[in-house]
Amino acid sequence: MTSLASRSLLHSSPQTSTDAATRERLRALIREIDTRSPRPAPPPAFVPRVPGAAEVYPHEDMRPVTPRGLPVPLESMPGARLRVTASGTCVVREVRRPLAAPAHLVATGEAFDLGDLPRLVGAPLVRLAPDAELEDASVEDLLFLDIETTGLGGAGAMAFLVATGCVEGSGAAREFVLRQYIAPSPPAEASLLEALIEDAHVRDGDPVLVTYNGRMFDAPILDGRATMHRQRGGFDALRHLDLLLPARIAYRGLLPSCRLVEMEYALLGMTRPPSEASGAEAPGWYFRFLRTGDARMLAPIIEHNERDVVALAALTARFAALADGHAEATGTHALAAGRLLAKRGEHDGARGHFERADATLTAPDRQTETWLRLAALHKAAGRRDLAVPLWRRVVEQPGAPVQRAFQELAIYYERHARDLAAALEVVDCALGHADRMARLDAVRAERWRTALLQRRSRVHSRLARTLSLG
Amino acid sequence: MTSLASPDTVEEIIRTLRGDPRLAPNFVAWHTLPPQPARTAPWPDRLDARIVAALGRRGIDQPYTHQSAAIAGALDGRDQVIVTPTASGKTLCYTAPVLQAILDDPQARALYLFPTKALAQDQLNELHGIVTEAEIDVRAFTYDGDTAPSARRAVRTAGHVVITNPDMLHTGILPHHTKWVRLFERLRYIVIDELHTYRGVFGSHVANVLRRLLRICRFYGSDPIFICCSATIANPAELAARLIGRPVALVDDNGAPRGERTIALYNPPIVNRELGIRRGVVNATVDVASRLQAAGAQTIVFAGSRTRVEELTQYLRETRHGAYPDAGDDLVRGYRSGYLPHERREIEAALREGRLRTVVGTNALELGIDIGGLDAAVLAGYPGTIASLWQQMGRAGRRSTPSLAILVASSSPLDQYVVAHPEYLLGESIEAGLIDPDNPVVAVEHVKCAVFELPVEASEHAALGARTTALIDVLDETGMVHRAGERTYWSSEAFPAQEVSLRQGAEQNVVIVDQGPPARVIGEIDRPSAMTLVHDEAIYVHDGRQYHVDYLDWEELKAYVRRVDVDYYTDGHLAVDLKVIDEWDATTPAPGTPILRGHGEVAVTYLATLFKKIRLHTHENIGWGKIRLPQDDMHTGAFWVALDDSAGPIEGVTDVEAALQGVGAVLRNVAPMLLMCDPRDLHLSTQVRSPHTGLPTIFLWESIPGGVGFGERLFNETARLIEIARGLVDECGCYEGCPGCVGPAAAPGAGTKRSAQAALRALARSLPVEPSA
Repeated sequence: MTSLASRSLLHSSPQTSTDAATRERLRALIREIDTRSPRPAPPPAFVPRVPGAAEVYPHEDMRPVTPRGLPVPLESMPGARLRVTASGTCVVREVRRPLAAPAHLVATGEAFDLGDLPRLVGAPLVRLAPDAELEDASVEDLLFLDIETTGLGGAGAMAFLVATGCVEGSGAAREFVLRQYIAPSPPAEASLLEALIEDAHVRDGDPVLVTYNGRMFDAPILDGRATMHRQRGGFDALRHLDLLLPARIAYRGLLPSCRLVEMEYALLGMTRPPSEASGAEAPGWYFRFLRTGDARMLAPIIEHNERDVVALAALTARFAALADGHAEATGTHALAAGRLLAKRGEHDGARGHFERADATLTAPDRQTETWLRLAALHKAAGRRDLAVPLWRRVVEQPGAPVQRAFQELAIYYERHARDLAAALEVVDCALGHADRMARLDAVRAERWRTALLQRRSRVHSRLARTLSLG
Repeated sequence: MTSLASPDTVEEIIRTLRGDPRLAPNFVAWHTLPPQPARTAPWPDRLDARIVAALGRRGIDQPYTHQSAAIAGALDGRDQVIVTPTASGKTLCYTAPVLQAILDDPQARALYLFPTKALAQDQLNELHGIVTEAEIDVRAFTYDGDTAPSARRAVRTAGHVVITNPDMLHTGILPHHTKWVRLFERLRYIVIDELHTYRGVFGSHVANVLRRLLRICRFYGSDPIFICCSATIANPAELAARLIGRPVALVDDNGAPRGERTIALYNPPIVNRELGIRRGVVNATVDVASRLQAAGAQTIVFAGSRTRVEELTQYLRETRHGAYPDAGDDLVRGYRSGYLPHERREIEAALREGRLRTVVGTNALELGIDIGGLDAAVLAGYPGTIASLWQQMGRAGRRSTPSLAILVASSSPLDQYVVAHPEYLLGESIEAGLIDPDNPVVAVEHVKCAVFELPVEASEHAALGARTTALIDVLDETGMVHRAGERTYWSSEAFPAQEVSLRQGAEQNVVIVDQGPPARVIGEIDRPSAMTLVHDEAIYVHDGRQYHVDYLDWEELKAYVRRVDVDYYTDGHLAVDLKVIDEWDATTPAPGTPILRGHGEVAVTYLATLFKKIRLHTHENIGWGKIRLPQDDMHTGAFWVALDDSAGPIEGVTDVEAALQGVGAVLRNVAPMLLMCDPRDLHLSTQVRSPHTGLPTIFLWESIPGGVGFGERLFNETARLIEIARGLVDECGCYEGCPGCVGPAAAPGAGTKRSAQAALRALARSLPVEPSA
């Protein structure tokens, strides 16, 4: 029988392996574990723009070539200064650009137009984010924000770089002020947050965050990081315009995706320069910086982060201008602006956009959507007579989703125009469509057919009644 | 609803069974445990009158002795483990102090850990009942993979009691602790139920998760008290202390009443005298359980495999008679993994309400799922451990009336040994729960998680495990963490909790789709089992209903089935093979050293080859077919040791195969103690002529893919392993071998024990025990 007495023999024995041997074995183990679960590939080689950087790269996967904890060489970053706060030291880089002139980015040679930013108050702002608290926000309250983190979430993903942009000054002297907060080491994140919270008046003011997906990402992460450093955050509670939300309403299905780069391309005509580091590469660069202590490793992500926030500001202004007609929206942009206004209940404005879209769009599926939306607005305004030609255009468009339009037409003729013969004609035409649809989706086609046949027999009997009465 | 005029009492049933000319001779032992009267104690003074009153309204006027002690201990801030049998009211032991804490401080929080989602759901319902009765504002939520994303925020901020499982704590809560500030700041109690399930490698992982949990609590300034509950094992307090990393008080003075319990061992009759073949365990179980059914006893039948559960469900439905002649199929139900949650809930409720009279289950029902006490339990075969045996038998048992538990032996040597030696079961030799949280392969993953969750201070290393400093050094070299002075930071994009799963397997399931119409999912099955249960042309049985598998889509992991009614079932054959892939270290045979041992990586391959069609009841083979599925591989760590008979027979070994089996069995019995793991973490394979060593060889390989380094440890400590094994075999009082040492003899006179002893002597001679050991 299993004797429990033998267990005491096991317990009293000392550890058999020495510490050195353990370490050696662990190294092997970890190597092995690493090969078993492949990690994401390292970022592609950076094209060095800073002379001398190439010498560093052969060492990238080795132990730090410079001792850790060296101060960041500030001269490699124009506009950067050490910032001492109660919880440590971080680096803040500040760049001021007059609003009147295009904002030039040195690294990429691009220019962004920020001239329309002052219009981003009142109705144009609330149209993007339907929040009554935004009605009295001033342009100085807007705080464009973008963060770079070492991972996508969880307590181990730190925010090592945060960019903010805001409008300061007045009149012709108005400036767009970019501030970048950089943590030169993981513990410096505490100081980064402290400086950011202070400068942005997160706790002693009432700023409006403007972000791209910041509701889900930037704001909760900053608050979580503050908690990690035993600070009070408060970003999640701020007034917030998350541009991703109106972008989805307006542009879903019209662009390949609603990612920031697609929006930049569609609204600003900007494409990211191929040499630019992507957000996904940012953690790799930061870890390399930590290992080498060489600030040049940070250059590509600082540029990327700066571009993100400047582009976000330009994009927000452009989006608002298209929606309120300050900039003329045509084609796809008119359809998008119409969608946004319709969603916000601004039917007159939406109609104008849809009419312009109708006049300028050529892609059949977008035309169909425009007609359907325009017809829906007419119908809501009690003008089915104006909607009928649009529904007719839809059912005549080859390949269009016609079910809805047929239904509206049949209702119109049966109940509103009281033209039962025309209603029958519509139903018969729809039945032909249903037969063709059966080849693609038998179940749906059958359901539609059943409904149509019901309607037809009802119209028939009404017609018979009318005739007998007549 | 069928009504039963007068079911027989358990005493009457026992009398009938003992007087039955066909069955009575096969009962080899009857044992009666006397009834235990209730012993109560006063409510602890500090317990709020509202709680006492609410419990009174629920029929609890006075706590049992163990409840009183546990509640008082928890209110005093003692970490405790409560060990009492099923249905002794252990829930109250933690509910009362938790409610008291929330009454004292409405911001107080409690975290409950259950090993499964089903148990968490059970607990939630129970807690809701008490809270409603007491009219206390206590919000309790489950938080697991089923929690809707929209509800998660409310759980995080508003939940007084968060009920979850260790896996969710590991990947879903700790890595996101900044969203759980309210919970961690005021965490007063941590309740760990079913503590005995946290053993072996799984338990070692959970111990590390708890180290991380306590660290996060310290960060937010809370110092929670542990209330643990465990089924009976040899070392509950020791296991609890190793799991939570501090001493734990034991509460085991069970004051719950129990009716008289009768335990019987049934050895099926010999049906073929010449070959010594006994009636099969399935049919014998039906023989016994159908009597209980006929007499109206609410019965639970335990079977070792899913196929057996379904077979028994089907047979018991057919033999149903007597008490409920007109009832439908719902009087007998199966219950096993693979049934969908709602189906399980329905079965549990039907059992509690008495509508369901016979349930046939696997060990999924061992855990504390609330089905109330039943009249009788029938075990179709010995479940393999004494702890499991008691848990399964414990499902039969009412507070005031007698109950009956019957073990029906199969023809395996282990079962035959057990029925021949009732004292083995009734003695005190229950298994211990062992863990090794400092196993480096396990610990390294949790050190990563800990650094991810919060930068680790040098002063915290010890609390995170004995090897933390060394592990951090190595992780720092690889760049995964960044050590700056006394503090270590996470410096990788990876999300470490997702890279390690606390338990292996079951991550890939095959979904079983009844093609209908209407098409619907009827169940799911883990991938390895799917190879033999839902291959093309298999008859898959679900709750006693037969389905033909038309097509198994192995890429999409879907089995398309349709309902059929045939007179056969299928039995798929799985060929398991073990090959050495890589030898990491080995001793070379030299003259005079009759041993060869090594460790390394092995590939265990599973190949479903063919299936047999077997007629129901008669079990005759009526056809077969090929299973066309690719082979599944698992690579893992292994240790092997060979018996060197190349220079002639080993002295004293009359039968090499018996010696191989015997030594293998004893090494497998001993190794978990050396490794502080669970027996299920290790497998034994023996090869009479191993292609790798060319000799009779014993392989001990790990259940966990990739392994956690057990092979190497056994290799380094072979001398001690053999020494302990020898001590065990030599001290063991058995004559021809028993499950506790070299395993039961395959046949009388096989000389297993003698040969194994001789082989162990030879092994020991070649391996002098080092002074350090």
